[in-house]
Amino acid sequence: MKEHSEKGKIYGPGDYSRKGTTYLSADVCVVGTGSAGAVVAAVLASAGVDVLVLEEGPYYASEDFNQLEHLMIPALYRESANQMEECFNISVMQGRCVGGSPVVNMADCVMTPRPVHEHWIRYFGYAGPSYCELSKANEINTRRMNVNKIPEEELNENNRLLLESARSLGLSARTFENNRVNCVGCGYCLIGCHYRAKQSTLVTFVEDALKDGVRLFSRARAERFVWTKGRARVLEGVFLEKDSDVPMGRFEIRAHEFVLAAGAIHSPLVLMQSGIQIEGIGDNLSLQPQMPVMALFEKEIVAYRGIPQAAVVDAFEEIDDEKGLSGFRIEGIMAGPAMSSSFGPGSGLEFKQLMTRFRHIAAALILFPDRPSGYVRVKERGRALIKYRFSDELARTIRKGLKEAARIYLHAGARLVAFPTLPGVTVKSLNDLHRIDSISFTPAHVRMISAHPQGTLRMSERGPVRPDFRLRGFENLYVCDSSIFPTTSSSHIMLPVMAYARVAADRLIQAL
Amino acid sequence: MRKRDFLKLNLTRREALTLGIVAAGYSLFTSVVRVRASEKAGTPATMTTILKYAADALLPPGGSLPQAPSQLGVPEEILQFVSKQPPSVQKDFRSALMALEVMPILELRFKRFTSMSPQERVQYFASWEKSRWGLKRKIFVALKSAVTFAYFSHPEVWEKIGYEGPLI
Repeated sequence: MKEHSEKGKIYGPGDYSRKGTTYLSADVCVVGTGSAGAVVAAVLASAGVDVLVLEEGPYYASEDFNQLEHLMIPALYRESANQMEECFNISVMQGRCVGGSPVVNMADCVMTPRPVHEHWIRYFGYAGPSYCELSKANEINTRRMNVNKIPEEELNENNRLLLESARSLGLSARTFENNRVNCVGCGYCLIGCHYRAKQSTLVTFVEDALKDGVRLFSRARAERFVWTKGRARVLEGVFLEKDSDVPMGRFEIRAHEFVLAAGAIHSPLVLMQSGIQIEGIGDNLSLQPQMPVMALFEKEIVAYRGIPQAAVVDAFEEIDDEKGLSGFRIEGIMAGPAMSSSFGPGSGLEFKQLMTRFRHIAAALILFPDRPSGYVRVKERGRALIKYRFSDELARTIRKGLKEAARIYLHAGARLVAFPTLPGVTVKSLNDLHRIDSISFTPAHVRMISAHPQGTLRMSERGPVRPDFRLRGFENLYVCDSSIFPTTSSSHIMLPVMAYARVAADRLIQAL
Repeated sequence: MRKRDFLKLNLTRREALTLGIVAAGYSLFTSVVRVRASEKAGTPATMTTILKYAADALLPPGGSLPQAPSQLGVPEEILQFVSKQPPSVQKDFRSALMALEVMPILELRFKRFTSMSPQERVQYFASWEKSRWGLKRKIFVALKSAVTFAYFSHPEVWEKIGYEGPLI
């Protein structure tokens, strides 16, 4: 049998040659196995297309997720979850493993609201898939992922406290729709579900794709396309060692069609490394930053057990076709002590004292849908330079969001509410809320998270991606990940990305 | 220029400043040479030492979590982790540690970070969090994230904070 030609297999470093170049071919080559790549691969393979998929990260089966943060976070996240934008205010956290970010996300399922779609048509000359087409695609995807609403009786104390306190203040709050089935409530969603309860890409679309004969190459980093006359001819890249990013051998892939689904940070990076110069590549980055907040209670909360992110206060979220998605929302959250401590305020004995009360800490993430305000460039091969600027409007919204979160927690009886800022800001009563006004957004002043980068290859009137998902000026190079959204698509982008990916795959099948 | 009774040596401000710059330059030079020499010899002992003192300054021993990061091998774990990162990351990490080591000299404190007393190190590094200089805050964030992440990954620490660890 020809080398690397076995269908339905996941290849890894043990299968790769360290010498010379490995040559591969397929009808379609998909770059990435996250929300976009896994769906595209599964849809194409189900139609009998010969598909080859590349994933830069390693392959971990569900039983390999051992619930140890110090081993799983470096293994499953890009740059060990230390991918920072240049000002060191936002940590851009992306899954980098077979299955991508859905393997390490909080399983929140929120489709693009129709007004956001209308906003794109009105202000960005968007002419891509219709809302009706996307809704149908979303219906198929959510059925496959068993999306369901979290019952309120399944809330842990952390989320219940947030929900009830918000409601008693007259604020709208509810539980999430999620893609968990038979959740045991271990709380380790951020480092992979050991129990196959989270219906992530790993246990749904990746498995479907493999059953239908897809060849998946893990630890394979796509670097650049060789292209002429509007056609991508070859995709070049390197295989990586199992436990480090040291290259161990090169590969070249020939395919009729290429699908770029490496996410809003790395899809533009591959195009830039290929010398493709189209206006707008890497621009218009939205990071949708999120600020963690910790609240200390007298009683035990044990926030790290149960479904970590299950309740949301959506009273401050605004959705209309004039501005798209704006305002903010407050969502319950908790991680293990290692990751949580990285976002704790201050240092020294005082900080250690706070961490000794770990079982008494409640936590939330305040999520801020933003306007595009940054860009991505090549820092070095395979690594991105991420630039992002907080607009004055966003800074005002963030301060307002922190005050509202503090109000909710103080109302619930918190002794102290702390924000991961430099220097650390803590609030013990409503009289302290003015301290939040002192928070600055110049370099290295806040510790925020971005799990939803978007927009760097816009599908818009003058954007780099055409309405049919093809890169402008190219016949056989498609883009279908979160980079194509003109502005932020949803508060949680897994479902929107998957819907677009299914539509893209259907169109690709018609074109083949 | 008016004479000042500076360090009881009757130096003018300019003389004192010149002396300070010379002292800072000398200390900086010896620090760099020391680190370079240890790196060339393949023994990053100096980096380990700076990181050890930095980690213990961030999470000093005492309180209800008596163990310091260095007692749990946190600095060695971090260096092991960094050694697997791309060369540019390794270089940035070394530069951050070097900056912490020599910055007190450049600020005319006349001693390196590792020459300070433990209490001085705690206060000095904590001041970086409030610094007006972005680079200092960046280094503080980077080192604090690494140290706290590694420290709170230890079962000995879990026991003290009431975290039971994995369920499998």
